[in-house]
Amino acid sequence: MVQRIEIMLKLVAMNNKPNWEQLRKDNPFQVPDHYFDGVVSRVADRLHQPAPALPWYRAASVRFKPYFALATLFLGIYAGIHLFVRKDVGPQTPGTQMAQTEQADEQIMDLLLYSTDAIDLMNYERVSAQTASEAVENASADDEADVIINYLMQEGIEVATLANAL
Amino acid sequence: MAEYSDKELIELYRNGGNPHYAFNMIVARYQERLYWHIRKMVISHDDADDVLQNTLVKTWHGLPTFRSDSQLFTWIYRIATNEALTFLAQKKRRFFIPMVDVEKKLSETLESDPYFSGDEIQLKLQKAILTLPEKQRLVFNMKYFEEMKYEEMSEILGTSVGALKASYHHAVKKIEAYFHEEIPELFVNEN
Repeated sequence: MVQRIEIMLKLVAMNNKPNWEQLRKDNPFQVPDHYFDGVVSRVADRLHQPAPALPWYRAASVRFKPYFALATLFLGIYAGIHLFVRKDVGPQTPGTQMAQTEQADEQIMDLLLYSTDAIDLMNYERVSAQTASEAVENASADDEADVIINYLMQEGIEVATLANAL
Repeated sequence: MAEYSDKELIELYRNGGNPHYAFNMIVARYQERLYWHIRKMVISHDDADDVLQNTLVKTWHGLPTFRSDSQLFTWIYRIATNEALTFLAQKKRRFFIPMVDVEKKLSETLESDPYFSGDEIQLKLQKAILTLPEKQRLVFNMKYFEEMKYEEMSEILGTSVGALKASYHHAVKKIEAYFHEEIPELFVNEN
């Protein structure tokens, strides 16, 4: 390989007549005069110097790096939650159920207002009021039964005995 | 000055009571070879000087943990090689130089370098070498100019002898191709 390069350089040299025999040995690079005399002392000087202080922006970057990392982590988590967790599939609370019911009622009212006549609307309101009162009655009946059962429990009457008596 | 072997110098550094004296002798012994090795990679004298000093400072800090089972010179050479490659990588990052422009930039440095005294052929050869990827350039310089053994190169670069031979072969082919392209009249007789 080395020979191939040298042959090639010889060919180049034929046109330019340089001292190609020394081409590999000759060093075309130079150094300032007495450069190597001073290397030892320059390195010794560097070894005795304190480590150079970082510029303020580098120092700040080093100091606040963990905080930036933490902030980025939290932002990432926050963004991930918003991206991947859909709001409408979360657990439904009584509050959200009520809000949805109110919204549906409003939509029905709008529909009735704009696409039905006054008699239909009155009928709807009547039926709605009746349904609501029935719900309240059912709820109060349930409450009464609970009160009676609690009273009997407090008095020490077993439910089985009561059932036999009835 | 007494002529110490590398092992004696390390011993002197560790237990001789004057580590600076031992270190200065190590620097004086290897500075030139290290400098030329670095210079052929980074091209400019000023950059080579910086990298050489960094290499020697790192050598000083690393000497207490240096294991004597590897050769001192091989170890320092490895530090110098890593420093030179790191320097080139930093230069690319700092000046946003794309990979393809690195060769151009180094060629320009070579042409304008007051400490380059090569003739036209030397310049062409250096430019051809600069077209090689960094690792290949390293292998070519170590084999062609520094006449190192593949085994020694393998220890320094941490690459197998086979891979180094292949790398050198590719480097020579590329340099030939460069000359083919630059001076086609030289190859008229071959065809």
